[in-house]
Parts: sequence; C-alpha cells; structure tokens
Amino acid sequence: MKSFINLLYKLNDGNSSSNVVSALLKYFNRASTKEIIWAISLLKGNRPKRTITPPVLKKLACEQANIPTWLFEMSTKITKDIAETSALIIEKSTHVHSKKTLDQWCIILLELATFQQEMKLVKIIAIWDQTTAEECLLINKLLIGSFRTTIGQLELVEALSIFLKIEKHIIAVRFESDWSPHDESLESLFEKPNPKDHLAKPFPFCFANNFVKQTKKSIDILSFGVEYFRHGLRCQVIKRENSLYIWSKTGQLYTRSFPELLELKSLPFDFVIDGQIICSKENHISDFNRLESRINKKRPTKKILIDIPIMINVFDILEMEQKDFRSFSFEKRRQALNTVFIDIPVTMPMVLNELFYPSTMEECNLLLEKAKEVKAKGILLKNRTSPYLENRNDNWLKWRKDPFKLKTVLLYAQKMNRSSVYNHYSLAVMNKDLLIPIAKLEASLPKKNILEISKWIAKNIVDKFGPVRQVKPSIIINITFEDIAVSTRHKSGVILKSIKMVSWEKEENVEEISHLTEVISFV
Amino acid sequence: MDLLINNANGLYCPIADVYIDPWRPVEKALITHGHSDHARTGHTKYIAHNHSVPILKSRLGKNINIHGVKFGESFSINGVSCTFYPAGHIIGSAQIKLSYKGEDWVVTGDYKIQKDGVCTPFEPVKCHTIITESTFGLPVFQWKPQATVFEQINHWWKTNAENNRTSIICTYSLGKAQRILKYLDPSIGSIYAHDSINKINQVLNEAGIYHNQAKKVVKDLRTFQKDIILTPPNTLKSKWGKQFVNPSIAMASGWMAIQSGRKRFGLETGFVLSDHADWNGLNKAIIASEAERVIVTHGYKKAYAQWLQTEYGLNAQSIDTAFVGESPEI
Repeated sequence: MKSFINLLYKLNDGNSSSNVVSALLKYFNRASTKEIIWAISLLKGNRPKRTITPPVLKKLACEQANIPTWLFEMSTKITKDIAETSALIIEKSTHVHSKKTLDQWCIILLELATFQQEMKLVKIIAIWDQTTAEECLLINKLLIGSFRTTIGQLELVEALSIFLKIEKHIIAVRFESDWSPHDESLESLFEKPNPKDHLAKPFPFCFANNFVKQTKKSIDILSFGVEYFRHGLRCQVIKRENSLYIWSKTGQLYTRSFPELLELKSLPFDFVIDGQIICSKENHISDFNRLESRINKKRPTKKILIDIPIMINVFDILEMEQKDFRSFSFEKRRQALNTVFIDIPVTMPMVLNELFYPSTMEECNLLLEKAKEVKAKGILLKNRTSPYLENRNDNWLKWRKDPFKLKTVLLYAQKMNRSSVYNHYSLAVMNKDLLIPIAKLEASLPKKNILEISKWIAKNIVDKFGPVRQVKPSIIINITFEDIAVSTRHKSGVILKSIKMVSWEKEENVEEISHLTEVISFV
Repeated sequence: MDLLINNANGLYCPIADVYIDPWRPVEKALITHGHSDHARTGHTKYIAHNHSVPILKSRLGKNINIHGVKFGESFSINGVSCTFYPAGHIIGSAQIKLSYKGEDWVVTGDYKIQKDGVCTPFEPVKCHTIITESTFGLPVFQWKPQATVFEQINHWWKTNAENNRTSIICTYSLGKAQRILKYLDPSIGSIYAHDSINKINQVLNEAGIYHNQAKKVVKDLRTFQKDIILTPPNTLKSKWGKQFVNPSIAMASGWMAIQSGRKRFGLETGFVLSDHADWNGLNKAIIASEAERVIVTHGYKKAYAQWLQTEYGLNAQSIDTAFVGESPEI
C-alpha cells in the first residue's frame, strides 16, 4: 500500500495536470493490476461504505491512546481531520509499512463491515497495531468514509489511456460506467474489445480565434454568418445506434450529468452535433451561475433536475447517419441542421441557435450591442464556405461584447498563497449608506500597483478577521465584468463573472462609487 | 516571590537582576541557544554555553561581550546559583537552572529527548518549577526514531540521483542542517549547501566543535544532477534557488507530521524531523524533572498546561513569550 500512499502525497492539490498524469503513470507501472483496479476505483470517488462512524473512531482512538476527548478535539483543530488525529495519537510499535497491498486492505475492510460492532472494534485495534501512521491514516479514512481526492477524471483517463495503450474515449466511457473493483479486472473493464467502442468517439473540436481590430477592417461581412454564443458548456452530443454520449471540449464525458438529453435518443436518426449546454427556463437565456452547480454534479438529484433545467443550444452538425459532414461548408451544414431538426418536438431539451446574415458591418455591430439583452457573451462570425476544422482557426471569429463597468472600493484584503503582499481583494459598492461586498478576487493590477496598494493597506487597517484585513474605504478600483447572475450565496444577491481590474485611484471621498441598485439593474 | 517572572523584556530573575533569552535589549542575558528568537541582539552582557559562544559571535557580532560556561558548572549572580545543563536541541543548547535559598527553577529553552549524535544529549534536571516549551505539545506529534528518518532521506536522495534529479532539502541553517549533514550518505553524490549553512559550519569547524562540511554552490556548468543541496527554505524563491533544473524539493520539519503542515508548503516530499521534543518527549522531561509547578511557554501551551493539570495533577500554567519554536512560516 506504500506506493499508493506515496501517490496520494504527490497528488497534492495545486499540482499541474501533467505532473498528476506522470505520477499516476509511475504508480501504474509499479503496482499490480489487481491493486490498480482498486486504486482507480478509490480515485474515481467510489468510496467504500463507512464501517464505523467518526464518533466511534474517535472514542476508540482515545481509549487506545489513553487520551481525554478534549485533547483529541484540540488536536483535531490542528489536523482538521478526525481520521488523521486517530492515526497519529496512537503510539506505533512499527515504522515499517505492512506487506499487504491496497487491494488486500480494501477486501479486509469490506469484510470488516460485515462483523458485529464489538468485533469490528477488536479487529480495528489489531489493524492499528500492525500498520504505520501513514497506513493508519488511509485506513481510518476508508473506515469512516472520508477518503477524498482532488484528482480529476481527465487525468485519470489520460494516464490509463497511456498505460493501457487504449484510446481515451474508450477508457472514459468504460470508466464512467457502473463497475465495482470486486467484479472487474483491468482486463475485463478496459482491455476486452467491444464492437461498439467506435460509437463513442468524438471529433476534434473547432475553436474560434479572437476577433481583433485588424481583422475587423479587412473582413468581408457578407461571407460570414453570425450567431450568439452564451455562458454554457461547449459540448459534442453523439447519438449513434441508440447510444448517447456528451463530450466537453476538454474530453470529459458528461453523459450522466445531463440525463435530460437522453431524450434525444428517441430521434429516429443518428447524428453528431456541436453546441452549448445552457441552463435555461426561457429559451436561450442562460444563467451561468446555476449551470455551474449542475456541471459539478455527477449524478443530479430529482430536485436539481427540476430546479435547474438545462437544454442544448445547437449550432453545428458534424455527422448524420454515419456520414461525416465536416468537409461540407458551414452554410451547407447549417442547412442540414435546419432540415433535420425542424420537426423535433418542442418538449425536446434542444434549440437551434439563431443564425443571422448581416449585410453590413453596422448590422453586425447592432447584433453585438443586443448581446447584453439576450444575455450572450458575444457573437461568433463563421465563414460561410469553411469546413469544420480541427483546433483554433480564422474561419470562426469570436467577438466579445463590451463588458459591464463598475466603480468599486477596496473593503477587505488578504495575503493568499504565501504571498508577501496583499494580493486578494474584496471590493464593495454602496447599498444605501453602507458598503456591501460585490466581488472577491485576486488583484490583477500591475505588480507595481499591487505593491503600492499593499503598503497602503498595511497602514490603513481598521479591523482583522483571521487573515483578512478590513481597510479604510479609500482605494477606488474600476472593474469590468462579462456577466452577472442572481445568487443566493452572496450577500449582495448577485454574482459577477470574468471580473477584471482596470484601474485604481486613491480617493478620500468614496461617494462616487457605484450603487448596488445600479448593479442589480444589469441583471 | 517567584524566582523568575515574565516582564515586558523577557523572563526575569529580580534577585539576580538577570534575564533568560530576553526579547528586548537588557543589561545581562543568559542565553539558552543560538536561534534568533532566543539569542537577540543588543544586550550589554551575554552568558551562554561554550559551544554557543562562536555561534553568537558570528550571528550577533564579534564584539559582543560574552562569557562562555561549561555544562554542570555552577556560578553565582547576586547570590543566585546558576547552572547550565544540556538541552539536546542544537549545538550549545542548554537548560538553565537558577537556585536560591533551596528553591530550584529550570528554564528548558528549546529541547529534545532524542539523541541526535551531534549535540550533547538532553539531561533531565530536578527542580521545583520548570519553564518548558511546548512547540509540539499535542499527542499527534510523535517522532519516529532518527535512524528511520535518515534512511528515508537517503533513500529519497538515491532515487532522485538515479533519475538524474537534484535533491534539495529545506532546513534551518543552525541545528537541523548540521544534523542532516552528518547522516547523509556521501556514496550517493556530492553534498552542497547554501552559504548561510556553510558559514555556520565553518564557524563550528574553526571552534573544533563540528567537522562535517558541505561544498559551496558555485555557478558554473555543473548540473548537480546526482547531488543534494541543503538550504534554508526562504532561498527557494530567489534567483539562487531557481538555478537548479527540475529539482525534487523536500522539507525536514516536525510540521511534516501532519497533512495540513505538508499542504502549507506544497512540497511533494516531507520528512518528519525536529529538534524539539515530541509529545512523549515533553511528558518524559516534565516527569523526570519532578517539578511540582510547570510554566508552559511557546507552542500549544494552553492545551499542554491543561493536560499536565488533569493527567499529572501538576500546578501548570501557560504564559505569553516572544519565542516561536519551530516556525511554520520559515
């Protein structure tokens, strides 16, 4: 189990994705295939059912270590983890890791769960006696069901794909299916070929370049179609032979997160479409804040499905009845899309993204101006004659709408990530006569300014809340942001998206800063 | 009246008119050891163990007025008998016993019970009142035997060397650096150290106290691929620290015993190695002193004082000092 514990140390949060993959690969190369299947099951988030409750663990550890509960609680304030305190307070007779592998331990713990409570405790004490503090920590976490990792599905899939030399989409699909390490082996789960494997394979995504000023002048608007893009999750939805797959642009499989879209399976033809999943009650109006709470749910509950309905806003078709459409021009693909989906029932969680053909640049500008009204992020210009290419290219151009502007004042500051200067700000606006925080973010001003503001902060602290410093409201910071949504989690009642700091000034009089009513009027 | 009191300048003995490890400039200071939170600049007269004399001179200035004493040798200040005993923390570290009219007080300074093979091992001193540190005064801190930790360190270094990676180990320049240096396996590669560590090693070497030496890091075409480098952690973000290509960086500290300690540094490797007493060490030292009254200074002092009261029935209290112990911030 030592190598798995070492792996967990290396998967510390903050590690880059490539480091995570290489750490996983190193581990896979060393571990037995039996162990790997248990390891990936744990890393996937399939925790074994809790064997004992945290209070029982605490009581048992206190008894074994001869320590009063208050001292255990004091210690837990430092470790912030009952499993860890329990592992550390017991005097260890051995400092050599046990020879048992992760899979053996997992099976032992599963068996343990079947015993009577008293027998369980006796067995746990025996386990503690044979293991080191590091092993104990992991075992305790598994016992009380508190084992968690920060590792993402993407890294796991990538590492497995390299290790097993199997295409990523096959790994991802099988990995996401329901399986138990008890009944499967690496071979049965991944290596056994399935004639349906090719069905899930997504196409590489086409991405837009940013629409910069030079191109603005030189393009001929007549050769472009224009559509809005929104705050959503860019996805490829594949329906082939009665199977449905939803892939994000990063290669993550989202089929289970959006069960609403399973309805698309009822359509009598096969297709691959490109679009954005948006959270929407009325057509087209997307709410990024609510969508985010959907994206993070691997298996949404019934309540969430009702509260936060989603739909797919389709803008391209890449395959139809097994025929690859990518080499067709954009115009032709759009026509196909329109013809195919014209008759779909209105109850289907799917809409076609509206397409415009502006005849002048002015008309195009008007569309952009309207972006705020329709709650879009901006417009996409797509070359009518272009095929669907891989990666980023000039056939698609992204033109963001002008951001919203606000004048805020610095209210709280904090040093984060072991910085020597104050680098996290909470910014506030006026609400009647009081200041109300509207955004908390990392300072994105030039280094010189951050240093200067930091020095000023140090001299103007009014109050302290842990690491947070409240300062005299005198630093005015102009910010821009791309979108705004209603939020119940925020004091101000709104959440801002893509905030940028533009400029700052020192001002004794802060009456000029924006009012909350002004902010709410943006919603 | 108490033999020692805690005033604005530090721990003070009014009868002898002397301070122990004061944090503000005073007339006469008894110094337990050379770490900067205990040995501060600006006192008129310093008294410390012989081995601390070269350290203090190098850190605080050649011209300080300092008098060195031996372990176990008593001397009198205004009728108060004063004796230094080994504390086992770092080279030259001492516990200081003050005796007056049959009442004995001991200030432990920083200490550890484990023998490290570098400094004079800790000796329990019997007294009526003990003023103890409690840097790691919670039961979650229990050290492994030193040999186990050095086995881990050498194994880590060897693995890195086999993969052509430079090993960097973060440590205090006074104390832990000398301890690690002594137990590194020179058959794996060359051992280098940051100048601040080499400077202290040289001082100790010239004084005839400690003889292991590391090489100086000289900028040339060397890649340090199979080598190990000892450095204080604050150098890592500097230009000096960034000259090493794809290093494996580890931290040696008592804080590495807990997940939140390791997370704080964000390093992939941590070795649990401390020059402070662990939970069992603190308890052993207190019991061995046979003291009836315990005053707990820096660390988890409130929890530890409460433990001493409830578990051993001792008269224990905690006081505020300017000592920091093993700083989690370094």
